[in-house]
Amino acid sequence: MSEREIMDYLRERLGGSLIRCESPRVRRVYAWVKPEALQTTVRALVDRYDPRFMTMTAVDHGLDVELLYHFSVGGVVATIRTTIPKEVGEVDSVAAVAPAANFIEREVSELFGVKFRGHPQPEDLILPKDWPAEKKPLRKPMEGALPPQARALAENLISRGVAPAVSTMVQKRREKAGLPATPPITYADESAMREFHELMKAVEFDVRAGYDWERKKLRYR
Amino acid sequence: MVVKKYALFLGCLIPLRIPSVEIAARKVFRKLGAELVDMPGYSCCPEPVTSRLVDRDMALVVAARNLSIAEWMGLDLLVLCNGCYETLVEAQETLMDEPEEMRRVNSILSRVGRRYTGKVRVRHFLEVLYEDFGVDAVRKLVSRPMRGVSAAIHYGCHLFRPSPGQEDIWAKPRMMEELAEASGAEMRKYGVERLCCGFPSMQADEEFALKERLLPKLRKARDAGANCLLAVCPACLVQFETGQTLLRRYGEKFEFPCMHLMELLALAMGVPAAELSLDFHRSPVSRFVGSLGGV
Repeated sequence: MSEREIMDYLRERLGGSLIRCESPRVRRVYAWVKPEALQTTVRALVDRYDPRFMTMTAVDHGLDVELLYHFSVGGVVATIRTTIPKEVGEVDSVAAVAPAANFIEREVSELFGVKFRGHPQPEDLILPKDWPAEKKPLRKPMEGALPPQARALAENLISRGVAPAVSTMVQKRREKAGLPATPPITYADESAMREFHELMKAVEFDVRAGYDWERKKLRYR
Repeated sequence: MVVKKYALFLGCLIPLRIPSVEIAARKVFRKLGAELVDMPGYSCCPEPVTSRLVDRDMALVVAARNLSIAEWMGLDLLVLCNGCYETLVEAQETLMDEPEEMRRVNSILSRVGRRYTGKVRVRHFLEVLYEDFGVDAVRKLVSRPMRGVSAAIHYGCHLFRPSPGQEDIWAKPRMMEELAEASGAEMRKYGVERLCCGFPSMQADEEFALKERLLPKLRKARDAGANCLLAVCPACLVQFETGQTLLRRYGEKFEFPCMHLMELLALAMGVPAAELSLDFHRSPVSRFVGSLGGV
């Protein structure tokens, strides 16, 4: 079994659900998949290779929880990685496809607060029986990389291209003072704003800052 | 006569917090026979204190985009703010000193159809007034000397960032003093001119910023007999103005009018106070200017 073969197979089976795939060294394959494709990916591996499920790792990145399912595929360790935004907090269980994942999904559920949809036995496994249900011992606060002092600035910068908040009162007073309501700045010009947003995405500042493009806000404040 | 033109980089704080500085700058340069051309679609410089610490890559690309707009206009870039000056000058130097960074940044800018080759001169408005027009030309335009103004100068930390190719960190502060004196105002030395106003520290420790930075400056300025505070940085002005209000929590009451040098020059050149909309200020600038008479 070669790393290349596994990667080619996953690319072919998963198409757009596969975010990327790489083999950084011999006998190691990483495949990043969209959360909705997690179960399909595991099923694809099982169908073709009948791999041994080794374990799963969960990493709390602050805003997201990353799940890493490790399989031994004929001597190659193939890790399926997917990232769950904490706002979503759930993903399809793979326990029906890879039964050995049953216990570790329960463990991750109670320690990190990720819900595994369709799990055959969604009960706590290791915490004491009187442990408060809402307390997840390994779950970090919903925090991104930015310190509190930088958050307003980053949010304003990404959303409108300026550091301070834009006040409608100042806009009105500018007009009263004989100035245009807005200076010729990014947010006053749709194409400039679009261009600025493209640059924010190109340098991935939106990802690092944890910006939600739909809500036009940071995911945490 | 050839009209001197400059690409006007307004930054964020001036147009969004203290537009009277924008009005004053446009009027002063018009009186000098210069044209300030707006930079279409410019963005925050970005802000020099937090942005670069948070994400250097983002800060460099955003600054390069602003520089590319001025380069496309074919004009020197004129800034009215110490912070914008530092951000843009340092981005310019990084891009010129590090060809690999220039290539990398340009490959990102190319995604939005922009390119920067490094031809822009970033210039503080003090340098433009001092070097391109001269203190005498400014003085000649003074029709209403600002007698009665005893100003405590606050240079602002970023003003000590030397211009490219220079090492004299006092060059721009001296320009500021000479230009301020050309208005007819008196400068009052108060001993802690160089002390930071506390604006950046507000983000980390508000009490420290107010009591250990702003308060000593205000006390010393008052003790020296100053009746207003003069700055060339909008962030410092915001700190002096809102900081005075916040200091009341600690039992300290000040009512110092805080002005930008551009406003002082505009008044001295005969621009009526009413045209400057000085009521954008959060310190009693309008009342102070009104008390001078004839404005």
